[in-house]
Amino acid sequence: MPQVVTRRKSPVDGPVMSARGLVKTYPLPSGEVTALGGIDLDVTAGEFVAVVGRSGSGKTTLLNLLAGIDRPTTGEIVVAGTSVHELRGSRLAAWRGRTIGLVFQFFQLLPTLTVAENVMLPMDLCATVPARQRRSRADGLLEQVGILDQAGKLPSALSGGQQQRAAIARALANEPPVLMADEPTGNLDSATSDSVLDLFAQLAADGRTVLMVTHERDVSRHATRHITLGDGLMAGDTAGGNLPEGMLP
Amino acid sequence: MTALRLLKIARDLWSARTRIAMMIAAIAVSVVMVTTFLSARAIISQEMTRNYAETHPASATVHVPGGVDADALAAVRAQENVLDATARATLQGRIRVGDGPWRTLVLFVSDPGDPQRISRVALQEGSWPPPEDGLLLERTALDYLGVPAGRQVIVAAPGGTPTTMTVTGTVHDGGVAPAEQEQTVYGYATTATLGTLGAPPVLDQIRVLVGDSDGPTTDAAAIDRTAQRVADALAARGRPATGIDIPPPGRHPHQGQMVTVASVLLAFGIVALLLSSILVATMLGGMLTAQTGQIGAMKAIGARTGQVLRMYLIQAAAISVAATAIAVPPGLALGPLLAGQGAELLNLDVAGTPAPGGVYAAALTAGIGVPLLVALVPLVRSSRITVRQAIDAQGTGTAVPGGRVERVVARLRGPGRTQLMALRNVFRRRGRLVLTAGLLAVAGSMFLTGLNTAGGWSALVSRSIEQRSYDAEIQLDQGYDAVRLTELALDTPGVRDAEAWGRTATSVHDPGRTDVAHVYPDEAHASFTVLAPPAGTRLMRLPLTAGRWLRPDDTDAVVLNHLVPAQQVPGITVGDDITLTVAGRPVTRRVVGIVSDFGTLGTAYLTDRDYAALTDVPGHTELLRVVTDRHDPAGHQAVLDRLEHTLAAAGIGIRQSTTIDTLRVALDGHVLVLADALIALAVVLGFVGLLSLASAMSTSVLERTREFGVLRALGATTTRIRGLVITEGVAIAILGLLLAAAAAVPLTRMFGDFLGTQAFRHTLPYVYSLPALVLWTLLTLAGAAAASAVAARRASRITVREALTTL
Ligand SMILES: Nc1ncnc2c1ncn2[C@@H]1O[C@H](COP(=O)(O)OP(=O)(O)OP(=O)(O)O)[C@@H](O)[C@H]1O
Ligand SMILES: [Mg+2]
Repeated sequence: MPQVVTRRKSPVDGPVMSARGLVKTYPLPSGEVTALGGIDLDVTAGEFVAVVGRSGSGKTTLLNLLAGIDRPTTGEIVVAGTSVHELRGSRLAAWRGRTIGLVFQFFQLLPTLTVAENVMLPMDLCATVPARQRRSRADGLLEQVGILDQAGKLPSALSGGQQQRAAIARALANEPPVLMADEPTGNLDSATSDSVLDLFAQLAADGRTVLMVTHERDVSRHATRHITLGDGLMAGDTAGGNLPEGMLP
Repeated sequence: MTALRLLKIARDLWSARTRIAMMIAAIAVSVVMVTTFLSARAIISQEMTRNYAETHPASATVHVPGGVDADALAAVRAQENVLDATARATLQGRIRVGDGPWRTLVLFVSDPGDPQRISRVALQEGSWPPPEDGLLLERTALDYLGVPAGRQVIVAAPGGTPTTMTVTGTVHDGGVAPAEQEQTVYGYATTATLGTLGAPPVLDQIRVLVGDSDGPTTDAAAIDRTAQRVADALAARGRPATGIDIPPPGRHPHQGQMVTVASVLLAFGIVALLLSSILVATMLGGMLTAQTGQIGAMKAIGARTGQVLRMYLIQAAAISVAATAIAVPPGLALGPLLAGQGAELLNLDVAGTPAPGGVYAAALTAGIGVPLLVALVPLVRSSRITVRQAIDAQGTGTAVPGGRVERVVARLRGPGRTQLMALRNVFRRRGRLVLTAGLLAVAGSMFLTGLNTAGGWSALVSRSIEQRSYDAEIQLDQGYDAVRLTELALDTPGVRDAEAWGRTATSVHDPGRTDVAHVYPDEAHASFTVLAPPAGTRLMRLPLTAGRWLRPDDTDAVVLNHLVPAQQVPGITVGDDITLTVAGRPVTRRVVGIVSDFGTLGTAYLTDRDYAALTDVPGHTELLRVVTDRHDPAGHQAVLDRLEHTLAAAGIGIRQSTTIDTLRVALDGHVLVLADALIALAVVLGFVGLLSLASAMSTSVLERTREFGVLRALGATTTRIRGLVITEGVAIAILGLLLAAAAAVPLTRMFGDFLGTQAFRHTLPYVYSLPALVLWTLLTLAGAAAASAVAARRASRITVREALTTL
C-alpha cells in the first residue's frame, strides 16, 4: 500500500492518552448505574489498543470519554497534551476534529456527498488543509484504504466494507494523532473485517495511536495491547497479540 | 461558507425537493398576501390624501346667518394666516326620480362667479355653472338614484315645493363617500338654483383656507385660532358667526375606516406569514430530526455547532429567498389591483402612483426575515445535538430526551395499546407537538375570531336597529306643535304609533368663543345634534354604558351618546357639566348618563320638558317618528309616502324623510366590507392551518422512518401502524382545537374592541359564533384524519430495509 500520508509528530513526549480515576455513572429513576467504576490508563504513540469485554462492560463508555463525546463523572483525561474534560462546545469540536479520527459502526458517510467529498469534509470543517490540496489529499487517503476507484460514487453505491474504508479515510483526513473506532467491523463479514483490521494495524505501524472497541476474535493478530473491561473496571491489560483464555467476549 | 458545504446544502435541498417546494409555496402565498396588503394600504392611503387634498378642503367653515358682502369677505381674506376664503351654502334637501323614494340630498351651493379654489370638485360631464333649473351630481349618485346624466329629477328644499330639475352633468368629489354607502346624494349648484327651489339664495358659510407661506396647515390649533379671529372680525362688522366647523385637517372623512380595514388585512397577512413560517420551521425541524445521524457524523469529524447551524440557516434562507422572489411579481400586480377595488369603495380616483419603495423593502424583509427567524428555533435546537445524542438517537430516530410529561404518559395504562403508543409519541416530540398544535391553534383562533368579529358587526347593526322601534322618521323644516303632529300621523292609514321629538343641531359652547364643531362640510360626519324624546318614549331604548337615563322631571340633565366623549368633548363623563348652544343660547347641563348608540351621529338627549323651555315656542318639535303596520321595506316606504302627503296637505314642511331600512343599508354599507374581508381572511387562514397539519403529519412520518421500520420488523401490522399515525394526528388536532377555541375568547374581545373603536368609536358586541366553532371543529378533525391517513399510508409502506438504510 503506498504511503502518501506522513504522520504528524506527537506534540508531547510520554503517553498520547492518559486517563486517571475515570468514573462514569448514569442517574436512572431506579437508581444510579455505574458504567465505569474507576479506570486508569496510559497509551503511548504507535500502540494499537484493542478494548474488549462483555456487552455492557463499559467499552463504549470509555471510548466516548476519551474522545470527548461524553464527560466523565469524575476523573481526568489528557489526550495529545490537552485536558479533554476541560474542553467544551466549539473548542471541544475543533479539538476533536484535529486530534481524533472517529469511526463508528453506524452513521458514517453523509449520503448526499460523494466518497471523496466525504473525505474532504473534515479538512473543510477544520480548515486544516488548503482548499486546493484537499481533493488530491482525499484521493491519496482513498488510495491508502484501497477504494480510490470509488471516489466519485455516492456512499449508497458502496458495499459495507467499502463504506467502512471510506469512513477510515475520512477519519484520517486531518492527520489526527489518535484514531478511535467503536466496533468498526460490527456489520462486516469476516474476510472484509479482516482487511479493515489490517488497515488499522498498518496505520498503527506507521506510528498512529489506535484505540478500538471490538468483539472480533481475530483482533489478536493485529493489536499490540488488549484492555479487557469487566463491569466498568479494568479486568486485564496485556501487551502483545495474545489474549488470555476466557477473556474473550 | 465553503464550496463543499454549499454543495451539500444544494444536494440536500434537491433530495427533498417536493417538501421544499411545499414550504416555498406556503411562504410565497403569505408573502404575496403581505406584499399585496402592504402596498394596497400604502397606495390607498396615498390616494386618499391626494384625492382629498385635490378638493382643496376648507380648513374651517364659519357660519354667518344672512351671509356676508364682498367687503366682509375681503376683510376675512385680509386676516393673518388666511390663505383664501369664499362664501358658500349647503342645502339639506330631498331628491327623487319620478315617484321613486325620496333620498337625502346635500346640495353644495356657490356663487356662479366663484373661482372654485376652495372645496372644489372635478367636473366629469356637463359644464359649470349649471343652469338655474339644473344641478350637477356626484358621480356615485347616478347609480344610487338609477338615473343617467341629462335626465330629470325632483328636488325639494326643506319646506319647499318639489321642483323638477335637470341633472346637467357629473363631478367627482374626492371628499365624500359613495352615495350608496352614505344613502345620500351629493349635488352641486349655484345660488340661481337655490332661487328656483324657493330657498333663500344666501351664501351663509365662509369657507376659509388657513396656512402660511408653506401652504395650508394641518395644525388644528392654528386653524382654530385663525377661525376664531375671522369670527371676531365678522362680528366687528355686524355679522356675528353662529358657529365654526373645523373637520380633522387633511383627513378624508373615511380615513379612520380605511386605515382600520387596511391594518386588519395586513394583520391577517402577517399572521399568515407567521403561520407559514412556523410551518416551514416545523417541516425543517422534522427534516433535521431525520438528519440527526448526519449532524452527529459531522460533529464527530470536527464540525462546530456554529458551522452546522450556518449550513442549515443557508438552507432555510434559500427557501425564504426563493419564496419571496416568486411572491414579488404577483404581489406587485395584486397590490394596485386591490387598491383599485378599495378606491372604488371609497370613491377615490387612482393616479397610478406606485407604493413607496420602502413598502416593498418591508415586504421583502418580512418575507425573507420572518421565516428565517422562526426557523431559528428548530435549527438551533438541531445544530446543538451532540455526538452522544446522535448515537443514542440511532435506535428511535429522535435525539430529544424524554421529560416529565413523557414519563407520566409512559406510565399510563389503558385498553388501546396503539392509541397509548401514539399518545406517547405525541408527547415525546414535545417541540414538534407545540409547533403543530400551536400552528393549528393560531390558524383556528384567527378563523374563529374572524367569523366572530364578522358576527359582531352584524350584531352591532341588528342591535342598533332593534333599539329603534320606529319604522320611519320625518325631519321637519321647523318646529310644529307636537300634539298636532302626532294626531296627524295617527290619523294616517298604516301608522300604528307616533311620537314627536325635539331635534336641533347643536355645538359645544366655550364662553367668549364662537362654537366649534368638528363636522365635515356634508354636515353629517362628526355632526352634533340635540334630541328630546317625549317622556317615557316607546320608540327607542338605548343601553347605558354609564350613569342613568333621563327622568321625566329632569330639567338640568343631559344624556350623551358614545360619540360625544370620543369626538365632541373628549373624555367627558357622568358628573361633568357640558355647555351647548341650543336655539342660539348657551345652556349648561349636568351629564347624568352615557348611552351606546351605534348608527347615529353625536347626540345629546334632553327631556321634552327641558327642551320646551329652551326653544322659542314651547311644545314645538322638529322630528316625527312613526311605527307602521307593515314589516317590509316597501311597506315602510308606502306608509311614509302617505304620511308625507298628510303632512303636506296640513301645510307642514318636510326636510328629510327616511325609513329605518335606509339606516340599515347605510350601516351595512359601512360595516359589511369589514365583515366580508374578515370572513375571506378567516377562510384563507383556516386553509393555511390545515395545510400545516398535513405537512406536519408527513414530516412526522419522515422523521420516524426508522421507528416504523423497527415496528415492522417487530411484526406490527399495516392497520396497527396506520392507527398509530392517525391517532397521533387526531390527538394533535384536538389539542390545537381546544387551544384555538380558548384563545378565540379573549382575541374576539380584543379584536372587536380595537376594530369597533377604530372604525366607529364603538366596541363590538361580543359574539362567539357557534356555527364557526362547529365548522372549524369539523374542518380540523376531517383535515387531521385525511392528512394523517395519507401520512399513515406512507408509514405503513416503510420497509425494514428502507428504515435501516436511512442515515
Ligand atoms: N445513557 C445511558 N444511560 C444509562 N445507562 C447507560 C447509558 N449508556 C450506557 N449505560 C450503561 O452503562 C453500562 C456500560 O455501557 P456501554 O455502552 O459502555 O457498554 P459496552 O461495553 O459498550 O457494551 P456493548 O458491547 O454491548 O456495546 C451498561 O450497563 C449500560 O447499560
Ligand atoms: Mg458498545
